[in-house]
This record gives sequence, structure tokens and C-alpha cells, in this order.
Amino acid sequence: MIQNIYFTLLSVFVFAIPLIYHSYKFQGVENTIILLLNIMGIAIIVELIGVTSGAYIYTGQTLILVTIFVGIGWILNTYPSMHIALYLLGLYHKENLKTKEILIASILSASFGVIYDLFIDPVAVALEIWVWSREGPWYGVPIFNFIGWFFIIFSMVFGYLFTRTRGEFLKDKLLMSLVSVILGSLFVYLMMMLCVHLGI
Amino acid sequence: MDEKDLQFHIPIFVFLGLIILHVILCIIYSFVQLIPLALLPLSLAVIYIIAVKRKGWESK
Repeated sequence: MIQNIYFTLLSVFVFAIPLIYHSYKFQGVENTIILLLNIMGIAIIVELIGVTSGAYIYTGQTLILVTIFVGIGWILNTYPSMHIALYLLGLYHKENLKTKEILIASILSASFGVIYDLFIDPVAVALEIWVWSREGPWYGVPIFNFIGWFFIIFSMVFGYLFTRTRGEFLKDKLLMSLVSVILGSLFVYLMMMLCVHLGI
Repeated sequence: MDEKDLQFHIPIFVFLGLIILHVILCIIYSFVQLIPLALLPLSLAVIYIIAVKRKGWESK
């Protein structure tokens, strides 16, 4: 199995760089900063809760490496999913998105992210990059993982698009990003608690 | 398709690259039973490519 953590980290970085460049090129510096804040902020908070709760472990990784890995890694699934959703909806170049449009784009992005994970997660589990504490029905992956993915990507995309559209200056955008990271993480946490309560 | 168009579609190239990487890992580590699952994200890429092509035809 893949025991070399640095290979995993390197491949995550190699794929993330063109995506960050793409955001910089087509959305500008400010929007790239808030994109990274929204994705990395929610990813790190939610994943650290997931790891420390014992639901799963990243094989052979320290907490610092997990933080770097998930912070960068979530860009790889969220950004392409959001790009595909915005493009298909014809909203990519629209500057002032309505709340309803942001909501639809977020739901579609999250759905695409889950479709992507239906392939990626079983492979990662088979390679023992991460290990679930209890085996699930989808090639060893529990169903609540996919529900979690949906809410995480939804929160990231909604937070980013809402901040990008409503924030006027960088200072406003940074403050809104901070609020959206806190609210987004809380929302994901509550949804996951609901899943645990319902026995999913 | 010019250079700017190609740059605009970078996320889909990365998306495809990630799928291919995972398929290669499945082959190397003999998890061939997982390879058909790649059709799920690939279907998204196909839908995207069709949308790009349709847009290209409409603009001509």
C-alpha cells in the first residue's frame, strides 16, 4: 500500500497548483484568497474533528501533516466540481449572482463532488491512505462519509460564492469568509451529528 | 480552441488527471474491481465536454 506520505502530499500539491493558478487568472487575487480561506478553513476544522473523534485515521500521518494534506487536498475536489457546476449552469462569468443561483450552484457542486468521491474514496481506502473505524457498504466506505462530503462542499461553495458576490472590499470579504468558515463548519458538524443520531 | 480557452478548462484537465492517477494506482496495486467506478466521475467530464462543444457550435 502507499506508505509514503510524502508521495501523497506531493501529488496533492502538484494537482492543486494549476487550480490555484486558474482561480488567480480568472477570478483575481482577492477571490483566490477568499476561495482558499473558505475551502481550507472548513476542511481543516471538519477533518480535525473527524480525526480526533476516531471516525477515521490517516495512515501514518501526524496531525500537522493531516492539516496540510486536507487543507490542500479539498481544493482538488471542490474547485473542479464548482467549475463544472458554474459552467453547466451558465453562471461562470456572471458577477452578481442571486442567492437562489448561489444555492443551486452549491447543491450541484456538492452533488458532483459526491459523484467524484464515489470513485476516489474506495481507492483511498483500498490503498490505506485513510482507514474507517467501521466498514461501510460502498466498498468499505460508510454512507455518512458521502453525506459529509455533500455538506462540506456545499458549505465551501456557498460561503465562497456568497462572499465573492456580496463582499465589496477585501476587508469585508475576509471578515465574511471568517464568518462563513465558522458557520459552515458548524453546519457540517450539526448535519453529521444528525446522521449519527439517525444511525446512518 | 486558443490558449485562453485551454487555460479556462484547466480544472477539467486536473479532474481527468486525478481520475487517471487513481486508475493507474488501481492497476499497480491490483484493485481492478474498483476501476469501473471511474465511470462515475468520467460521466461528469463527458457532460462538461459536450457542453463546451455545444457552446462552440452555437457561437459559430
